[in-house]
Amino acid sequence: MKLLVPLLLALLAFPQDSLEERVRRLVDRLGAEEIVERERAVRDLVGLGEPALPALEKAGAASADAETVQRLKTVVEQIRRNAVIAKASPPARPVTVSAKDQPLKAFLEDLAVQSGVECACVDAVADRPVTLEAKDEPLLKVLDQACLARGDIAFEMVEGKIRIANGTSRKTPAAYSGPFRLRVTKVALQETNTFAERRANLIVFFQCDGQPDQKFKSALPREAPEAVDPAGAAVKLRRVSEGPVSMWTTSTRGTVVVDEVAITYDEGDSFDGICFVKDAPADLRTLSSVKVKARYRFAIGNRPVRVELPGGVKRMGPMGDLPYQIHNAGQLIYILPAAAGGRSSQMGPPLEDLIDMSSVKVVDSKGTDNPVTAMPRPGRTLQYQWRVDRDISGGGAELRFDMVEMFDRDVDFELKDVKLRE
Amino acid sequence: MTTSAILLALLLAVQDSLDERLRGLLDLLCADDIETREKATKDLVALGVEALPRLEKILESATDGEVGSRVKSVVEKLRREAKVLRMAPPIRLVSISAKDRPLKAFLEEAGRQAGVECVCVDAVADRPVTLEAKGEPLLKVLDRACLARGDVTFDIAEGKVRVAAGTHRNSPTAYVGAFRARLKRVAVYESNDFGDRRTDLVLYLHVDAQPDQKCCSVCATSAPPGGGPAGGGLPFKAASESPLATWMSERSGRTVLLIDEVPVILEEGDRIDGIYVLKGAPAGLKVLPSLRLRALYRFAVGSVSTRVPLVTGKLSTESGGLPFYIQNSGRHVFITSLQRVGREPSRPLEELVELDSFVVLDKEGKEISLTNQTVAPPGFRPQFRYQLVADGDLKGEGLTIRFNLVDAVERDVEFELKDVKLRD
Repeated sequence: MKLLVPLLLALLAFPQDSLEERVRRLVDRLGAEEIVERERAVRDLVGLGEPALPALEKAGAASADAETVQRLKTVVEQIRRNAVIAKASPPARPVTVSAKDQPLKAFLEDLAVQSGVECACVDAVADRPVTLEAKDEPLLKVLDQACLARGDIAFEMVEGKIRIANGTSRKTPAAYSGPFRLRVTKVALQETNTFAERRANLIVFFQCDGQPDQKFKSALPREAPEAVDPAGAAVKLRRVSEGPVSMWTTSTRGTVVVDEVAITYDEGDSFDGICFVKDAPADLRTLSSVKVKARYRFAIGNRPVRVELPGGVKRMGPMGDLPYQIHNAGQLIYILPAAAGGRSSQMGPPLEDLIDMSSVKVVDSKGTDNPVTAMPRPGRTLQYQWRVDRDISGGGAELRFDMVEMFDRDVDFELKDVKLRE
Repeated sequence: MTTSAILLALLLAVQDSLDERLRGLLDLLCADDIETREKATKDLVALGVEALPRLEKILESATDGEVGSRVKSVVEKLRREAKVLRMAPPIRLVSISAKDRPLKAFLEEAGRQAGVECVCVDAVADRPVTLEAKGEPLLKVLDRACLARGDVTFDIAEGKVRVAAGTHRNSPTAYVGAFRARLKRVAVYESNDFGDRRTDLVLYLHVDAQPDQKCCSVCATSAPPGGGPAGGGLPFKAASESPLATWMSERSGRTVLLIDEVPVILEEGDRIDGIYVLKGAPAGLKVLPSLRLRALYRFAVGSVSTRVPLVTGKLSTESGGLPFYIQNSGRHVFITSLQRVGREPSRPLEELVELDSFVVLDKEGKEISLTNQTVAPPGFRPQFRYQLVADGDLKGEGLTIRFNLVDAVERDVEFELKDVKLRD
């Protein structure tokens, strides 16, 4: 025992000394003659993470070499960025449970401890017994299984936590990857019989989400899924967002027509997540595998941007580097997709994924700030309308807003045995 | 006595009989009591268009008294009836027993019996047709012949039937006399959100007629109460009478409507009148045992020139008000259905008025022509708002507008399609 305490103290002290020593050695290597070695030193320093920040800042202040100072600055910025990313998208902690008639509330408390995600339920269902075995499974998969096993409860993710209440959980085809989940929320079949020919189109609605500790701004399939039928033949699934879209409605629920296929969509559906098979074979009833590459976008900072507002005789102009254009109508500003006069056949990212919508303001030619009021905008039409209190059609005004700095996490999912029709 | 002599004698007997009846009824027109005179007038009309030439001759020599005016009214009624018969002649059924008969000869025979010109392109003229039909409508015989061959189809254009190479659609069809109703297309929409399943149906029906029926418009008038598998009525809704949530048109001519959350696609040539929607169809519905449909065939038999002051307000004529509101904007004349402002049910203006006949007259009687600029989306009739542009100013006092009111007869036809297969 006498020996154990000094040993522990020594062990605790050793990493501190070791970190400072390692920082010092790596900073020395930033001045190495070989560029490869300098680059590796940068990577190793970034790998030390947040605990190394005080030592790195001290080293930067003490260094007389300009290149070393610049590299240290890059290292510090990268470590800080990584820290923000880790907060926005912490690593998933899989869950292991062995519950037999365990009250739901206790079951959820156990899950919350293991996953680090707050899980709660309404009092009405707190005592319902749960029986489930899971080993190192993603939290969302365990919750889906628990709700389906009971049949009388469903969960939702709101305000950063899981909440379970009375309900019927839908048995949607789902795939899980760490803290992320992909589901097929709806399948639609359209059959047309002209008594000379029969045609069938299949439409599959995908939805990506994630645990509530994942603070992503958007989650969408980033390319057309790869699907195969039970015989192993490839099935061409096309995304609505890839067009050609010939028309769509401007309401939260409506219809989009893409390559002659009319698809009705609901509030919350994304054109990136709606895929279709035109002229599907009559015997296509199941997709044995659907591979989906999804992109989760996390906002990790803002960057102020100024864009000249078109004015005078010129009413239309670009919106900086964004795939949108500005139409200045005096007291109304319209933001429209840049392609094809605002009616793009390609659906770009929605503006709210690119800029902080609450930061938008107009600074007129006299330098006065004018806040803008967003007008109601139905659905995901990629068209925006802002009202300004004074007429700014004369020119010389600027549109100012914060561009959202994004971090993307690409996630691959594979859904198995997706049943398309009876 | 030869056959021709017998026929001649029979014809003369009919003539004699007609003359005799005419003489008797004309005498009764001079009767003392009015009831007899009224009955004689009605009986003269009942003689039909065969009596028209004689009555017209009698009218030429008639005096201006009551007898003359009664004959005149009978002649007018019979002239109208003659026009109706020209526009909508009675059906002549077809009986045919063809075995490997060349198509051209087959069509000549069917056409001769039906009184309808039936032709085919040279490429198919020799194709043999085998068909038995007894007392059937021409369109049914032609549908059957085309389906039996499998490599020919027909269309109705420019007053005749024309058969050419093609694949005839085996559409569920019903025939009533010279008229036909077909189910052109069925769309079935199934959605499964893994909680609920929903099936919606859209029926695209088309009504038409033999080419000798010179109808000016045809429309399906009521939703078909389709029988379900157990014979129960299904609540189909007529697309034309349903509120449209969404309405989009493509340059290609296709229009997409969203009716009660069900997408309805109008291809080129589709008319919204014949489209019916069933939201939430019973699961597993594959056949409709019975599908009833009412259609209105309208035949224009003439027009009546009408002149009314051009003032903003309800469009009224001497023969009564029309369910439209007229407005003079100084350069344009707008005619709006009162249905739109929720006052009266309406029908398309072109069913009531010849749209190209509108002319404005100033107080000196000088004509200012009006051009119809009304545009209706594909598949729709311009039911609500019509726009006419003048080639001069429409300002000042004393303007009148002249147009022709359509004199039309209507024929209401009820069809029943049986065992309509919706899907496999």
